[in-house]
Amino acid sequence: MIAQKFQRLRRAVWTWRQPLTRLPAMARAPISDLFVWRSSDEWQTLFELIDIPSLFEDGHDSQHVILIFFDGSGRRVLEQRLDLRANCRQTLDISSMIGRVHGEVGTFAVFHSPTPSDITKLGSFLAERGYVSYRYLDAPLRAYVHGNLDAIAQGANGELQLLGGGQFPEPRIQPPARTPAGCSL
Amino acid sequence: MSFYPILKAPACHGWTTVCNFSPNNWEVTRRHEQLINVTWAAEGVWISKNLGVLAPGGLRTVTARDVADVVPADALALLSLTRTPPPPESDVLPTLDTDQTTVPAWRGTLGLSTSEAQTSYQGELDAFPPQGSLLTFGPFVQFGAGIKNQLILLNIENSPIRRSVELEIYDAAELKLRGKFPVRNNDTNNISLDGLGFEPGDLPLFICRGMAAIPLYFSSAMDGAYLSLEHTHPPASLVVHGRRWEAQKMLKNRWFAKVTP
Repeated sequence: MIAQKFQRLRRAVWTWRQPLTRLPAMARAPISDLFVWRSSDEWQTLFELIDIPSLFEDGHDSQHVILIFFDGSGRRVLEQRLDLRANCRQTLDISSMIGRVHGEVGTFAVFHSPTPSDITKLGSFLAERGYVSYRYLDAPLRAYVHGNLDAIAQGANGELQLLGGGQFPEPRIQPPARTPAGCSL
Repeated sequence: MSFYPILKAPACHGWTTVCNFSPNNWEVTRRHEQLINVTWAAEGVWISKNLGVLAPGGLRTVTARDVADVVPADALALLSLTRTPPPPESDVLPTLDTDQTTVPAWRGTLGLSTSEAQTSYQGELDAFPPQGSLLTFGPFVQFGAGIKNQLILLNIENSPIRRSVELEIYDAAELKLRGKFPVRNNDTNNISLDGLGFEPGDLPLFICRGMAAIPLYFSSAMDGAYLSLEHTHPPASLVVHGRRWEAQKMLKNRWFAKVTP
């Protein structure tokens, strides 16, 4: 019990005024994880797109998403608007969308709109945490990865806000796995 | 106080790697030896046995074969790391004397292997309340010649008493029931998603009104030469900040009312 209280105190000292992720500046701003894309002769990236607002409310005819792509240096290189089909699965070929002119690796975000009013009333934000998959060469299966951190928000005029909260000392995450020989985290 | 289950799937063997180091550098920094335990439910009690000691900073992989002489074949083997041994027998799931973290949770690597391939994800399992329920959308069904898709539903509860409930699988757009399957608590429930008529544009909806669980999706191809494994999120992850658990409740109520078994 004393050890647990000490742990909580230690965590509180670390996290006081240092949230891991911040609130977007604007209510109703859609939030997205930053997903990694790979596009090369070896790797193909796909994304499972679901109309998230329609899961909460019926009757929207103009649901859409904005996909924003960044290159390996974090520069915004491409934006695409896509219409959505309610309660369906749309598998996007991200590698084809980004092409081969922006390098072999980068990130992308997926912003849904509009945010259902019931979500805004709760003080919450709609978030795309979704599912990327990667295919290696001509493998029959893709390997799925889900998002892990609400990282970026889009304001009313399309401006982007990074939501990562700076921490000191620098936080480090250590996955519970052996690092393959020759690789570093 | 998480457990690390050893997964099961046909034509595969399960394995789990536990790690005796914190996943971050701000919640737990002390390092000490921990016991590796395996716990399972049998005949109305939780039984625990020690499997050894893990040094600070260490990793150890325990396979289904390693515990086959100890854990009955029909039971779910739950690994844990503790500073003191859990009780050998208990009417409720043992409370583990161990360090905890929240961002991220202290996880293990949970995997399935064939002779040619292996797949894994980072996960943990905590007891669900018996009054819990499940709603999730699962866009992970893969299509192609010879590809097999399975849902693996993972659950543990504090009570070792077995109970069975129903899992309903729908097409989210047509709200058409594609299948109904019995599932049990304290178990890995393996359900084939092939033959339910799903097409690449369909969004499968999984509902279990009587039990909460972690939904894993396992695909295999070419007789196990290729494997894929991942889980979907609970609906609360579709929103962040604010009263997000109310949003989850709202979404569950909405979809539970939309579809009737």
